[in-house]
Amino acid sequence: MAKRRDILFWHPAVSLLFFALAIGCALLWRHPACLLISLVCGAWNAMRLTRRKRRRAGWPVLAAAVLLTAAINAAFNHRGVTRLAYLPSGNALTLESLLFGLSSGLLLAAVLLWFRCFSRVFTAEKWMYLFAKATPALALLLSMSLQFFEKFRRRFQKVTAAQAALASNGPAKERPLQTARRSFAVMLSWSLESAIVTADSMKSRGYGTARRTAMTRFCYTRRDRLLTLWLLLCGVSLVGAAATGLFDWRYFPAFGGGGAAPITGYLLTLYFLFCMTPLWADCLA
Amino acid sequence: MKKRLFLLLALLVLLTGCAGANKEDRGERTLTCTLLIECETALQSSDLDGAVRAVLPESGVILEQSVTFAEGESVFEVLQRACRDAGVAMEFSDTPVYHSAYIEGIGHLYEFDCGSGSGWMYSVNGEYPNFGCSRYTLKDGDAVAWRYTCDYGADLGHPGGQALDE
Repeated sequence: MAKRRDILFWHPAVSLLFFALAIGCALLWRHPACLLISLVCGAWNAMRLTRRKRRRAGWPVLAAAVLLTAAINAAFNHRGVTRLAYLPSGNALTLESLLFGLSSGLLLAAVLLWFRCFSRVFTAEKWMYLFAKATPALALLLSMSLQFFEKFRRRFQKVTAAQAALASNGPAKERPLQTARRSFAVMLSWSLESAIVTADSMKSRGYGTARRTAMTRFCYTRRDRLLTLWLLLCGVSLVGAAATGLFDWRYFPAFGGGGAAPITGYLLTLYFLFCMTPLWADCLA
Repeated sequence: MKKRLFLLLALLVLLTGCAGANKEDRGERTLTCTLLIECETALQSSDLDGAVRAVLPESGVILEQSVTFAEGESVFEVLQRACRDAGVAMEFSDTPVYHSAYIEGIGHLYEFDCGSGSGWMYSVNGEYPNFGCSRYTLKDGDAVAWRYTCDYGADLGHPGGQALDE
């Protein structure tokens, strides 16, 4: 790794706290400034945690999702005081419904970006470390079923590549349906076989005979303690601010918020600093 | 490229697919009726949101005028045209199968804004017909009133909710 990306080495409990707060805030607040902060920080964090080659992937889909959400909302929601035109259905197209749709789309994009960071940071090992003691069976089940998707995808790529290579050497061009059927059959037998192998090897290694420990050990260091304090401080003040309605924003009937009190500005700055914790924690280290 | 085309098509379908409820004018508008839209009950309700209250007229009368219409036009068509001409916001949902339109909100005041029993009701010559406004054909000289209720019509002197139970 060229740069030491510190958030990868935080204690699992600390990074879980960070992502729970970040995703929760991104999901619940519709204040335009909050949306902007969570979107920008989510994108920036996702960029930072993605390998250079894959950084450009996924953006068109996100942009399309944002635009589609705005369009769908404007087509079916007709509230709002600023009428732009009449739709063919006879109801009005309003600026507020467009803005609301846009904000929903941006919210969706921000949450997706934060989840992209989360899945990069929160590996299966961390899940196991945190939850294996409390619920061993559930943790194992979760980690096995979650890794299954990625494994399945990789295997499928291998199988289709092999099938394509075979087809290019073969005498006649095969129908695509037949290729798909064969790929599916290969995938099925491969998955079943590997499941049996996994079960056998777990049994021969003595799974379930005694209490287990997690494979990876994480130390709760001084840095983690400081980070926990900071995250809790942010969490309490931000959730408190949201509970008192400082981050409320209204889209209907008119677009507007509860005034620009200086305290809202401070809290937005705090929110920004909170979302950027990985950056400056990295710089301090 | 294909993806983009598909998205564009989907958008077009969304925007145009909603069935048109407004019909073309059927002829000369020679008949007249009076139209009243008022929401006094909403203004008196404590459930009403402050931001909605701010965009409602203080008197509670959103529109009061006489409207000319053509033979065979329904209460809904008259309401829609009058609202458009006067610049009053009005939202409805249309069910083409039953040829029935339901008024969701007039003048930014919507159904359920004052509790679960609230919404818009219409009366013609003081009587509340218990069917859709797009099925009621108007006659010359009718007095149409759209009133907001907070309690299934009971606060308008019409036991609508109870009538449905019986």
